[in-house]
Amino acid sequence: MTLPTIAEAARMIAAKQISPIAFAQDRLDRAAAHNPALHAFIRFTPELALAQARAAEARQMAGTLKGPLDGIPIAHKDIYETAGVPTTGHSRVLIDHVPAQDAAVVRAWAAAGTVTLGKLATHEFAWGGPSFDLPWPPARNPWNTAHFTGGSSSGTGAAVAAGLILGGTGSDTGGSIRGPASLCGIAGIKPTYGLCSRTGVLPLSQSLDTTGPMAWTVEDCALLLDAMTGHDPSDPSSANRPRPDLLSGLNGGVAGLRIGVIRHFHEDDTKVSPAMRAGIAHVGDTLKALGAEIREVTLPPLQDFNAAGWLILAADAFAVHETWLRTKFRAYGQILRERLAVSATISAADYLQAQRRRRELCDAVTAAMTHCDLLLTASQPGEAKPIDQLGTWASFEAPNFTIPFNLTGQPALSLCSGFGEGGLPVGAQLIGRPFEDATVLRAGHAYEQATGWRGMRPAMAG
Amino acid sequence: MAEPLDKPQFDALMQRAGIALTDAEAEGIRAASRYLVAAADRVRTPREVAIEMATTFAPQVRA
Repeated sequence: MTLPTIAEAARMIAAKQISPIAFAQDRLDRAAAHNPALHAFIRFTPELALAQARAAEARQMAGTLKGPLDGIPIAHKDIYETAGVPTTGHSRVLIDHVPAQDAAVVRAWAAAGTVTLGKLATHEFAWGGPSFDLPWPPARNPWNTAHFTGGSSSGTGAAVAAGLILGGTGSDTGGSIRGPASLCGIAGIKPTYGLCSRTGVLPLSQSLDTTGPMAWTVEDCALLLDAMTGHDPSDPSSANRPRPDLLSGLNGGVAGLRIGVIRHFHEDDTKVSPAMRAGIAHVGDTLKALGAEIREVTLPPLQDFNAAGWLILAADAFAVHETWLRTKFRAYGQILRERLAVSATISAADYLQAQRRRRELCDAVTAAMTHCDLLLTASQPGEAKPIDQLGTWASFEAPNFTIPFNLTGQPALSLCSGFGEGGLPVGAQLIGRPFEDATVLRAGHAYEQATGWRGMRPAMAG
Repeated sequence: MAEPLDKPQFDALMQRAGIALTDAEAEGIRAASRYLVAAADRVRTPREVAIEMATTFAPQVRA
């Protein structure tokens, strides 16, 4: 059987063409076979998976399926708390942590019928990696296991690209969904800040943290995101507004949409690879051919967004970890403990000036988006680097393309836009206005439907 | 690129944070402080004194 997308599998399950139990067992077997090379999973939950699959199959037989996620094999990044299943943040610091309750998103996906195969690798506490001195090794890229997956949702990127799961949870504070999505050649959306609950997800920086889905296609991300949205009073960031309709307009095309290319981000502020540059042009050209209007927009320099973003992220992360740094400093891996230690040097004034700059940057982007519906730029500088070529200070050394939209809280999607000279994928980034996640998904889906990239899987996904 | 924090400043901040480092670790981390010093310089653009932070919030009554 060719590996289906979530949308395809949902139709097959509804038509009783595949058994959720057999599907779950098949994915568990494949995951167990490939994990020694990929390290995408840090823990399997076969008993839970098969219990959920049996329940899905009972609903299938009874004609009472809950919807398109019923019986779909997924897994959760190991910063999402799971009742009775250890949730470690991929860290020795929480090696014995067994939550009593599921995170809100875990609960929501389970209620939609998903089948949880296990817990996925992450950079330590969503910031420290790729690290080789943690209780589990770092995940590796299915397109070439000598290469990096991106992070921090590294296991989700690897497992989805390899076809071990059909979708999974990520989290995104400075690019942790969009980075691995780009480098692993999948789709991943950082939803609007406040759209999805973060309750039960280990924090990194509360004013930037966002939960979101990762999957092979944009359509699958829409299906997964649809089951994540909704106001959650237990999360102070959760927006008290009606759930958006992410699905009915997904095939609506892009005719009339105005797309602003932030050319200076990826051509002047920092350089991207030729393949990434070609991929961005391909997205623009394709959407133009489908009826969108392409224009150029100018924002403040990428470095300004990164300066404010990293000061805020680092200071917030230090505050989250301050107590453990005093008591368990050597339990952290080298990369994270050193990043957190340097974060202790940020003054209150530095932090608050960064928050003032953030407001100015938000205003600048809002003004630019009065003239366009979406923005387009790179998601990463290029293809994934070899996994042993990333240093402790990589986050600070070069500006990234993703943290600007954590600062502004906008929805931002990474989607595969081609392949580089090394045979690894590259991904472009589409950004929408706050709470217009549906528009971002609609444009991304239109691009995927018009191109052939989704027909190319890593060899191990066959 | 900005200069890193000087050693007395850096050592005082690590002591305040309760973080005990070897000399080699301290030098490596102190050298990296230049990235945050540069970021702190960059966010200090000229602005009106009354410009608000992004975290300013409006009190709301919970339903």
